[in-house]
Amino acid sequence: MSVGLLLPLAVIAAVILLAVIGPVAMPYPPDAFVARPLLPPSQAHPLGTTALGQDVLAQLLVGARPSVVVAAIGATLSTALALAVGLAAGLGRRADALVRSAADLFLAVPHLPLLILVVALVGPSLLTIAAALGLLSWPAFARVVRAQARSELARGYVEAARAIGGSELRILVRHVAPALGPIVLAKFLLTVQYVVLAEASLAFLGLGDPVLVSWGGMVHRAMGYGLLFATPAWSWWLLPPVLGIALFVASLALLGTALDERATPALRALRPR
Amino acid sequence: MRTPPHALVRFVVLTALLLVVNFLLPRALPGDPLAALARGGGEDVPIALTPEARAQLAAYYGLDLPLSQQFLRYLEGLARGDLGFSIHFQQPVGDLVARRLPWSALLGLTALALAAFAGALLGVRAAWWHGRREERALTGALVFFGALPEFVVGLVLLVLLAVWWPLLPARGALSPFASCDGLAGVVRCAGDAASHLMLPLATLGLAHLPGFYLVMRAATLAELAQGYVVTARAKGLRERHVALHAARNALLPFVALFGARLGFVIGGVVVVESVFAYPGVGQLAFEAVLARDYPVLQAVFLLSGAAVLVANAVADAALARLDPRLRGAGTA
Repeated sequence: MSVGLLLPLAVIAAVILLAVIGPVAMPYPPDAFVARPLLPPSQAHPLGTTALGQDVLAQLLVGARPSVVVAAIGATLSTALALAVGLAAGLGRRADALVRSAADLFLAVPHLPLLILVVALVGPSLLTIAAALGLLSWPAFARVVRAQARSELARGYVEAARAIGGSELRILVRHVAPALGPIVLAKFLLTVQYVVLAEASLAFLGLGDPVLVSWGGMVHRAMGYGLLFATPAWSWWLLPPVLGIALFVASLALLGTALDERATPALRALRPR
Repeated sequence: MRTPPHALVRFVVLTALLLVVNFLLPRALPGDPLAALARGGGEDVPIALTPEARAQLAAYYGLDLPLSQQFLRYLEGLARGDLGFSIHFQQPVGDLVARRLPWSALLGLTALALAAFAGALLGVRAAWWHGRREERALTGALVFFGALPEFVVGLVLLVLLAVWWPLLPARGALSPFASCDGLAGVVRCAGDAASHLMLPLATLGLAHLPGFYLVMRAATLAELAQGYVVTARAKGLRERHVALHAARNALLPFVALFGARLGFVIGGVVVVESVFAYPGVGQLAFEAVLARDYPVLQAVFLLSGAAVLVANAVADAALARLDPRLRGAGTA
């Protein structure tokens, strides 16, 4: 395994670990007012405090959780839908037309304005955001599954399985689905990246779950403080969550792209944004 | 070029659909403009509305009419070129959009053009360099940048070049209280606007660049494997001419991507404008969502939807010019 794979893997593992044990490891409750506002980093508060006197390190440790939870739910939903619909489309003509037009439609709509509307419509909670992102990201994914399933279905072994009387469903589940493994894993990671990015962007715009501390939400609050750049506070309040998001998302993208290229040399670099 | 009739029909149907969705979507949001008005939208003093005052306001803005009649009034206004009156901003929507749109267009179109140009050049280069260390480094770096959320790139640039090393202005499109009178004033203002544009432009450009680069690189690579490239080389054409042949064919997916991005110019500036407090349509749309300002939302959605439709039509026409096989097929 190369450094190019190990480094992103390490970052992703660290963030997931943080999401699991962060709330236990943190020194203070993340939203409690524990000290004077805007204290620079010190022994008691290694990353200083916010304008409300909250501990930045505590917020940073807890803030990974929403990203990871939204990513897990959203990407799993998206993958399940994409697999089901993509496989169905690989089989039937009518489902095929449906998938293609759905994918075209979802690719032709700008996602962020749509998300802003959906979140304003159903209210910003972790679950609704995850569900909205899952529902928005499956069609592009389904298209890849469909293409791969078609090519798999055209192979000789499928013909052989049909010849000895295997039913279509059995062929799909026993033979085609396992063959899709590598590409599904790669697409899953890229979907996770998309979901994390979208969740952070929404939170940055102030449309995240208001009761949770998240990295995007931290950036939103810091930017909402009018005097942020008039004091050195940005260096300990704004930068940590920004760098956290950047590292996590970039790691997911690098790992996903590397796996994607391995799984489908033909698709190399043709990935839609 | 003759436009196939069903392409025109599709365009009309889509436009009609756009108008309806456009009208219904804002009204589907929870809350209404009067409640938002009463909350004060942040700056104003919150006012408590008595039921009578509320009814009066609703009648004034035509919000008490049945939806069908509101829709007819909306269409009627549109036909006259009247976009309505903003409830939150208390001014004609046409004026608001006319003041905000040029900034978004300047930012969005310049970023798109620069990114597409740079992406195409780098992409063709990278296809030629395929497998070399430079190409791997470039692709890796661009995948990395392409993965970052726009607000992260924007904030890092802002912190680096406007705060830590205060080289460029951090927010807005013009310095406050700048006067643009006279020739000297105009020149000064243009310089001021350009320096304010730099950071948002760089952020948006960096967001666009990887897509164009990757598509151009992949398309050129695919072309280089084609038989005609081997033929061209075999008959002794210079590499530069071979590159031109390949690039023209590789332009197809590139143009398709450009068309898609062109349609999103208005929808795509929301985050960047928010980071740099740039006074464009994206900011306007965001404020209008928070204030449930139906007339403004309708105008902005109409504008961005129309941009998508027009950009797609333009891209289809350009693709047909580039590839004779697509002409008259009417698939588009």
